Amino acid sequence: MTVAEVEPAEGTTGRTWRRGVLLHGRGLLGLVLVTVVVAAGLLAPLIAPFGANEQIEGANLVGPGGAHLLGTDEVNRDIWSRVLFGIRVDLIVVFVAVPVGAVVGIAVGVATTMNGLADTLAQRLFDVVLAFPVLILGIGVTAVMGPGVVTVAVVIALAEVPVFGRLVRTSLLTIRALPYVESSRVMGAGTWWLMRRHMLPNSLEPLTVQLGVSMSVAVFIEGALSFLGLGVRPPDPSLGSLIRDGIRNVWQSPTFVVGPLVVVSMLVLGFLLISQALAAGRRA
Amino acid sequence: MARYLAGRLPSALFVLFAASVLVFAVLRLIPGDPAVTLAGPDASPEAVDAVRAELGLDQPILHQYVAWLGDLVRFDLGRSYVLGVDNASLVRDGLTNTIVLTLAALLVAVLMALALSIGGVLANRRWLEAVLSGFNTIAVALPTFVTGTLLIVLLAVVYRVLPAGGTPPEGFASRPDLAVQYLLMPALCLGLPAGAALTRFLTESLRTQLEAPYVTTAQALGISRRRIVLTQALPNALPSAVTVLGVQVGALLGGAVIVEAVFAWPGLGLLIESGISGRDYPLVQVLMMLSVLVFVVTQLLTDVANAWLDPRIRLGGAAA
Amino acid sequence: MSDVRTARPAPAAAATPAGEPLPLPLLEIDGLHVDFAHPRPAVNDIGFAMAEGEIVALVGESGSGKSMTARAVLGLLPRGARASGSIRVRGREVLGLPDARLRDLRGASVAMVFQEPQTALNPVRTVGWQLREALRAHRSGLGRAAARQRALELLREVEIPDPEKRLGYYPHQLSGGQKQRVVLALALANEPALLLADEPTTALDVTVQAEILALLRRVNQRTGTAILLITHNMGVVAQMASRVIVLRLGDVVEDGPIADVFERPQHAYTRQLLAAVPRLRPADDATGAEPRLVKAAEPSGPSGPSEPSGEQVPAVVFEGADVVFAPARRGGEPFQALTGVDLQVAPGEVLGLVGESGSGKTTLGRAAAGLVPLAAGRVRVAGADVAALDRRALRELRRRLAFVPQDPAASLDPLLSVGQSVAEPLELHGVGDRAARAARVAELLESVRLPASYAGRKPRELSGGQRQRVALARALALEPTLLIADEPTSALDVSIQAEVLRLFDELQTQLGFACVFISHDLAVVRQVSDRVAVLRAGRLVEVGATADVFDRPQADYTRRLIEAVPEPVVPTSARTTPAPASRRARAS
Repeated sequence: MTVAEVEPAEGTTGRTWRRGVLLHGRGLLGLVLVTVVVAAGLLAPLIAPFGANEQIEGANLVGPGGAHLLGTDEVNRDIWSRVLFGIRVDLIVVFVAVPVGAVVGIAVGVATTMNGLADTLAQRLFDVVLAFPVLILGIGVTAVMGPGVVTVAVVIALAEVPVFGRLVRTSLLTIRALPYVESSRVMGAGTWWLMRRHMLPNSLEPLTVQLGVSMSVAVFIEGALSFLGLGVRPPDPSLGSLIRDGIRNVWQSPTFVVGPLVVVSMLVLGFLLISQALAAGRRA
Repeated sequence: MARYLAGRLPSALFVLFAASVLVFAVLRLIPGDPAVTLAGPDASPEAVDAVRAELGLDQPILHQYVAWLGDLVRFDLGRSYVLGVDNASLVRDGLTNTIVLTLAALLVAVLMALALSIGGVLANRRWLEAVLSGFNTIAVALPTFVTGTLLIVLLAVVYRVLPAGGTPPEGFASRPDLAVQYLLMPALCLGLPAGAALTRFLTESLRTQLEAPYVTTAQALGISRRRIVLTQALPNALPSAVTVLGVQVGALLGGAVIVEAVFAWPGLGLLIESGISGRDYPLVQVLMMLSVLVFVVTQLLTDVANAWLDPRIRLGGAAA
Repeated sequence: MSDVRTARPAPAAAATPAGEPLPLPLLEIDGLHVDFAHPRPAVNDIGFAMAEGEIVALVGESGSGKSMTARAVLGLLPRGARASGSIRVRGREVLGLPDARLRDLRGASVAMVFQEPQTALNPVRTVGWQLREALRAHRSGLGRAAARQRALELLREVEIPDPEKRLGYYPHQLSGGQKQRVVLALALANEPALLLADEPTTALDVTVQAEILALLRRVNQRTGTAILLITHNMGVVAQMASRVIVLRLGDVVEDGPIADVFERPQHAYTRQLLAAVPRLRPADDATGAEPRLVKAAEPSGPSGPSEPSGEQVPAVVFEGADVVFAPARRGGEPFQALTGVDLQVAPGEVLGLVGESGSGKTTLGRAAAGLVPLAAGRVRVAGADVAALDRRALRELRRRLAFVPQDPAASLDPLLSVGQSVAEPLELHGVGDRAARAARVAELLESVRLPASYAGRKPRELSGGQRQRVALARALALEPTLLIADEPTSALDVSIQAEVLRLFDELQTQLGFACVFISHDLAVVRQVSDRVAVLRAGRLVEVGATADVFDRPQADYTRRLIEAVPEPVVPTSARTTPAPASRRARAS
């Protein structure tokens, strides 16, 4: 070979995570925010000074500081401890409901590309689910199932199915028309082979970006439903219900509401930052 | 173009139909006898029977659905079991307040998106990009119940410059200055995340457009960057931004439920919240249907706007 | 490359044969260096001058820095690029001018035409609007009526039929050639002295290319606008320019009148470049690869090419094949891509399939591979009707089929290593165990002249030419009897293309597979195929032995197609005209 060929500089596939999340300042910040909150939630039984629903004698609406980092509420419970335990609800929602919704969505998305009837059916169903704003959907589901953590998880999983289904479908259809897939097909590869070998692996990467966004949205939905009183059942704490309680006492002191506000914001922002960094890593 | 739009209609109608079936099913799916639930725990058997008869729960299911849909179309919404008032008037009042709030939020979002994205792209400074992008991320990330609470704490509790919630006591039209005071915080709170999402999208698509070959053509002709952004890149970026705006309207409808709860704004959101907590399911059904209807109509309007903005759809056809 | 700076005559002196009152050169570039954050500069050290009214060609392969040089003149370098050196337009330094000053230059004294007419125009503005906008950029006082009048003139200048009507058209309502004419009209709007034409015909069909090139020549004669033609196509250079500048990796390797450069190239790279260009009409002194017909005349082996005969089962047969595509949008018209195609390819034969865009050549290839269903007629591969086979028989049949796609960027799965990609067909049909497959992969890679160690690499670590060779190795893994190659080399530089074609030729002779070779490039087809089929608008226009079709075309369309191809041979007129600039070679 006598002619020098210039090495191409594109391609990020394998290194997206490392480059996007760890080396990107934004991604690192997101990772730190999420890790801190998740660790606090996991370690809640160890680090919380009081039980989630423990009523402390004589501590009624105590201001922040001293024995009670964030003060106490009107029924003498330590808000800091409740915040730590409240995080656990979000952990379920983020790390169980979202992945379940994503997996179901991906499965439906895969099915749509294999069968015309399944495609039409799924598309129309997605249309219908997406026509309900998420919170309205949540209200409908709550009406049927009654409030609770499970309901919140179902709402979130249900809302994520069409999001992932559409995304997977689009990227599978794009990949299916690519020359390397066609060349395999010409040489005798069947649908399943193509799906397993080429289409699915290549379509999964954009989903990591969406996963970050969806987790961030899930924290928001949990907060919003609990805030409306449709989330966890009292007296158990969740971040949304703590904000609701905090607002009730906001005229006493605005500080009661600050703790849960900060934690929710950290989580939502953290997931969003990770997702943005992943997207930036893909483009780079 | 008419053909393009006609193509969109069947799926919109299907969505409405399927959503109505689902919403109708809500009442059937709630655990226990709906009539008992609606009449309340202390109701006499006669009262329960009366509720059952009024709801038509003793009729065949298909008959019930058709009757329910017919009532809905005629805006005959029955009476609220909990509040004891005519549902139609409740919905009408709530609808006015919600429309005012949503439109104000939409205005906030659109103005913010246009100003920040066009301003940012025209200024073309790295530090400004970084600041805007950081602001945007935070604005998208902060849930409405967080910003709402922060606004109340700051402007109503600590500084006491704006009312903490509610609608202007004398209506919106008679005292516009008061109306603005009452509207400011909720509209800002509701419009901020939508505006930030729209800003991010419009900025991205303006930047993509500025990379497009036709922009290089224009630059090579000596046309100024400002003029290229305003008269060439923007018209190309708008159709997809309108689509995103359409999706954001859906988000605003959902967000309104929260914002109305935070600011005690007596709109549909507050109504639906009270409907849920009071187990007033027929009212909840009406409100759910209403929100789907608004969403579907918004999507159709988005399609119309898109078709009108893009000559490739407006005129149709390929090379002559 | 050795520095021969001292050997270069001053560009200004070069432009004046007599030398009395030195006319200022129109464009003068000196020591231009453009660099990115990348290790290698895009433009290393480029210098040349252009006189008024001249047509100069700037040629080079990808990475030569030809487009960057043109963009540097207008200050349109991509973000992050830094340029140093000197660029003077009529004696005025333009490098480093602030944007506002550059705007006075852009479109007014120097204008530019771009490669891709599909995207060079704003899709949501009318032709008239875009012309008016171009005019107003330099004449703010121009009234509406006057602007319209001038826009009409411009459309007439670029020979667009029915200009009044076309003013109100949007770009999507114009054909590719018409779009390029509008782009040219925009560039001519403010009567520039210099037109930078960056691959202006590369994206166009060959007949349209011929029209646009002729138009450019007429514009040059009528208006005296000098043209710097940036191209990779030696044929276009030979037909258009009076002088040619050859670039390689950001440096000028040769600069001189075309007759000299084409007939007595001084630099080894120029010679190599010219030798690599496939020729449509074999010339006496052709230095290129010998046409295939020479090879076909040789006594061939048992699997060598032969006339389709009754005894042998053809590799593929089309019988009255129709392909109809459903409308893209609801309510649209269905599109008939192929109509009544009858064609057969004998075992071991290479059939070249040529045609312009929209002719259906890709569809025909895809139909042979069973990737698109037929609306009518039949396709038989190795005697079997593809549509009538059950799943298992189809799988067996496909074992003997292979496909080499066009785009090197997408011909391999980015997530799989080269070895995995090449081994995939073996795995698919359960050939051998892991070790046997690894050995076969090494063997296949070597057969396409890649080291076996490349098996561990990912596609992104390979160049375009290397990727196409891997795609070829993968296609040959199962020793197919029929290979469908859809423009396998059209995205490659000529020298890389020449290598891949040579490799293809050798492998085909050695393995004796039949091949449908699809290409828009007639010269490439002439080089590789035994027989040629010409398609136009979904119908077969002509089929015959390669030499017959190219040297004695029967159909009118084939003749026009062949005539439109610019040959890399200097026309006699250019040899007699004295070239305006003297000859320089930078190193040999």
